[in-house]
Amino acid sequence: MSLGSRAAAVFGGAALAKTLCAVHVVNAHLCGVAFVLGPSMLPTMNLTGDVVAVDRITARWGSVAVGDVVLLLSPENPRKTVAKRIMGLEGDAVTYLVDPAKGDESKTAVVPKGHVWVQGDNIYASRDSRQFGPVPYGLIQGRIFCRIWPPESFGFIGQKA
Amino acid sequence: MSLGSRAAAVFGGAARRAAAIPWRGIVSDSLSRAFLVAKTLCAVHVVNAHLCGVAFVLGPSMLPTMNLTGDVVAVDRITARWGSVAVGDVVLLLSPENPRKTVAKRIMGLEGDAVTYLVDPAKGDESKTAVVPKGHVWVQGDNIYASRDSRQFGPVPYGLIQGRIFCRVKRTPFESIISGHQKVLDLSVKRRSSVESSFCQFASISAIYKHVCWYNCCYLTITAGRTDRPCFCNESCFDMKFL
Repeated sequence: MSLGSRAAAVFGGAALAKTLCAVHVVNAHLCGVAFVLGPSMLPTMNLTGDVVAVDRITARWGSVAVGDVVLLLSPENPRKTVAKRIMGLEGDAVTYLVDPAKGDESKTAVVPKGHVWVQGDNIYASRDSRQFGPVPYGLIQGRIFCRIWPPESFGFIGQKA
Repeated sequence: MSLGSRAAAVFGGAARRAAAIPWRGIVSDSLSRAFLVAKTLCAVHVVNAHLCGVAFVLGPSMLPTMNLTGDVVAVDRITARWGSVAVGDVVLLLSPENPRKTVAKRIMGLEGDAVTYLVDPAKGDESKTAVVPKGHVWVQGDNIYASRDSRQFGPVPYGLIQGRIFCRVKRTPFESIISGHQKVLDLSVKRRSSVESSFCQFASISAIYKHVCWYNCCYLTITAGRTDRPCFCNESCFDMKFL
């Protein structure tokens, strides 16, 4: 390899590393992209998967609100990231249906300090705080605010009433 | 010269001097330097957050492993990300009670372990056993008399762990953080007479155990002892009591 092409290769590699670093910093701290799939957030999100935009600043700032859809690490399996909707912040008393497929029993829980209560929109097929309890706020990775793929369902994901 | 033409001359001169300044060069120079700073910070941040980070930890809950007044420690991010933390590792984690607070504790149990712990050692010998659920770890501070840990807030989800503390940066060369419970007893510090009045960090241990020992420098000699209770020094610091 001649000196010129070797220098060019080093330059290209350095530029690639710099670009990846910058992309990673933006993705992890400003606005990220994630692919979410599963039945637990129907009808808000598709069963077969959506590409969503994740706002990292709101969660870092501590200004997530009830009704926001958030991305969080599962407390049962730290390698799994799940998307759920926040139903209660610390101090709130949350009333929830324990198992809607099996009757009308509802319970009330108070969310302890530093935790949030999350539930999937599809309570019939969702493993959420009704099973694993309130989730520490530190597990929240970001707030999902927009769906960007598939293009026919492009749009902002808002807060359900 | 009239007033108007003198003013015109002054402004004209200023405009000519302004036009002579190489604005394009200055702007492009400062932009390229700003980009260089940004690129460096990005790279530093990526290394800090994903390979090996640096943190400053302080507080009494990890005495005697860590200082009351603070330690600069090196944090290994890869072990935690890979899922290979072990019992006895000191880890940095987000507090489940306050997500803006990062705490350092030692892992005493992984998922599935049955952990036996002293509920409140200052108030007696009562001990309980808990099974750590899936995806969680049990953390405790080394100084169980002054530590808020899993004994109060329960097992902690693994996702809150930020990294494993493996090294302390000090004035003298690097010193490895003790991993594993046994080695806490290998500390040996000299005993001093009560005449000396220098302040030492270990005097703070006695404050935690409600024995004030600030005036006398009281170093502890721990050669052998029980693995579950640390030592403290009494008011006069003449001799050490093993609990």
